[in-house]
Amino acid sequence: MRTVPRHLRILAAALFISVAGTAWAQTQITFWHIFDAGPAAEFIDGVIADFNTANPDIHVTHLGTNFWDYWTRLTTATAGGIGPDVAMNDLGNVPSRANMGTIRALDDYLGDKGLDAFWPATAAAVEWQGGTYALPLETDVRVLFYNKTLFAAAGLDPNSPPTTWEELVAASDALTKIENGRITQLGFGPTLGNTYFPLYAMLNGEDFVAEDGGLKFDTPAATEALQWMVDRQNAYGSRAMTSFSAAFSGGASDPFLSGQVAMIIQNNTYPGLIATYAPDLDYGVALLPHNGTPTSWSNGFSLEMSASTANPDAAWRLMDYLMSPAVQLAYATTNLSMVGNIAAAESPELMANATWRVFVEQMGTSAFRPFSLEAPAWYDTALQPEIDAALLGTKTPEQALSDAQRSYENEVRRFRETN
Amino acid sequence: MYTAWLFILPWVLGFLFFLALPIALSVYYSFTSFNVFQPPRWIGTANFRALSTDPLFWKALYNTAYYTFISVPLMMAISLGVALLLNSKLRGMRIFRTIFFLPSVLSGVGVALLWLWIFNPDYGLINLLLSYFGIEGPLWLYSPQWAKPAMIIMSLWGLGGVMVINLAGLQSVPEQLYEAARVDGANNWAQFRYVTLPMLSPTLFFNFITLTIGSFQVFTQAYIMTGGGPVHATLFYVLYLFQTAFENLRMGYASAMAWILFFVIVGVSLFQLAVSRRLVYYEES
Repeated sequence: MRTVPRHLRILAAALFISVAGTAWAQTQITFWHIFDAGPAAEFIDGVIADFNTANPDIHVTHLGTNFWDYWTRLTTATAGGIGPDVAMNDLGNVPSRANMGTIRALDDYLGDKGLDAFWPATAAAVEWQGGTYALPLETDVRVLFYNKTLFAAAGLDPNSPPTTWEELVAASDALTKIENGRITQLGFGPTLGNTYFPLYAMLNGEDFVAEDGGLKFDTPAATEALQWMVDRQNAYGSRAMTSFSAAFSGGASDPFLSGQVAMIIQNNTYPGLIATYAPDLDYGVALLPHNGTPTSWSNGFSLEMSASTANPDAAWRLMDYLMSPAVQLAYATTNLSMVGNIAAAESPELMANATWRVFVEQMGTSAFRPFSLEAPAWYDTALQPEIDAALLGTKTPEQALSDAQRSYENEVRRFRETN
Repeated sequence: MYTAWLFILPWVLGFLFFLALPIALSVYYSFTSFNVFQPPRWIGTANFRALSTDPLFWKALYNTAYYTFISVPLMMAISLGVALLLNSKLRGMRIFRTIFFLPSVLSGVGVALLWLWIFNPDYGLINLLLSYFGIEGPLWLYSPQWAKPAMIIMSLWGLGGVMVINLAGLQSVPEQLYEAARVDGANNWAQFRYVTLPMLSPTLFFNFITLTIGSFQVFTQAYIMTGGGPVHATLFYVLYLFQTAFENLRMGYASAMAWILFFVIVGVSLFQLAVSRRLVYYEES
């Protein structure tokens, strides 16, 4: 007699249970994120499982896609009307989506407490025309990493890193070694690491915001910052510096991990990289040296609710849970993330670590770059080519920034003509 | 009758839905403002008018034309030269043919990453070789002046494919034409000029057209190696189009760009066809 194979029976039973499960009128929620492998994926798996257990009336299905493919998948799915109810996104351009109407305002849910639980710097990033459109799942912050061994070898005190641009320059000169016109060890390079011109301008007191709400690049503070960058780029020979930097473009190797650069600006996830690739490196972390304005630049990932979700209440409960101090603390521990929730970031477990204390202190002064609806990638499209020209010496800083200003204004005009 | 349709149905469906329909839609999108999330909104010719005053559009067009006008003739000449050498009847010629063809087996991202190292100003192969002659090589991809020439040099990596087509063309030239030419007292140059070139002209013309179209669509190298920099020196047309469409989600503007490129390529191809009437020799005509 023919019997149904055992594995088919199990399959049928599983199918029945899952179908019956849905029939219990559980609210289904989908959540997409960028954690597709490793400890981060395991962590989010556990978090979602906990949420599902604690909230029997809701069932969250989550999907992790690697960082590089995530954006295409999210964009096409959202455009096709099959996007997730809750998604991770770029904290740097929330207003774009708010303006297009793809994400839902959260003010009703946030109530009176608003964004009080989160870093003040992130509030500006998630607000658009009086509404709040996202939560700061995780932000990040840039600080100065320095090699204590190289400091000691150059006769510098490994426990007093530079705090101003002047001190940074002096330390860099002491730490730089040149042989036969080639840089063999570099103190500090303005284009190496997780940094770019807007950060130096911010450290020189520039916020790029014009009186009319647009952006302004050709200001005295920005010009002075660019001149400083150019001077640093040329300090040890322009060609030598370009050649030296070229060897590390594309991220194939890291000059700080290999001890070829003594000071570098990186963000709060960098210690993870050091632990993996240069566990013996004796390094210190310090607030960014500045020229009168102690600050840093932050970006990160937001948590957003689709405007077309059928179950906003359930979606909110998931978001609220992911932003809760306990989950955020675990998130910070797993991913070395500067989580948006201040209480979690300042929890005693994390603050026991001296490096983390520097991150938190720097976060208190940090800012996001201003947003432009008409030119959302202004730092790339309008600014970067002109900064390159100034660094290569084909334009003066004044020229470069006035050309950047014109390029930005053209972009704004074209946007308005075609939208 | 129906069976035949059934057999070509997969192709017909694919053509209609993944080629004809998107092409038709992109005509419509080029007259709209479209960010993929909201429905396209008709704005007439605003995209085309805005493009005409977009400095990056002109820069990208210039970069692409520069690349095409130098890389195509260079590729044509070198691939013909190599094919002529590889057409001689010597022992071990098959090995040489394989060696010259081999690089074109690899392409795309991997090759671009490889050339990043070849062009490295300090440690790269090219500047190392130049240093033996006492020449300090340029910064290549990091120099606005040298980045485009670097990309052109790199394009010669794909020589193999063109060379093989030339080689096939050379081998189909009837031997009796050379014999007749020799009887008439033609030296090597005369044989090349009056037998090889005319007989090979349809092959060369084919290469000319396909290489030109391919060059106008140059993308991968710049996308991987320079991102369009430094200072927009390698911002090629299709790269700018890609950035506009898929990074800035301005599909209307990008569709307008795509159609302009289409008409540029059609124009250039028609010009090539017109010129070819006098230069290309077809046996049957």
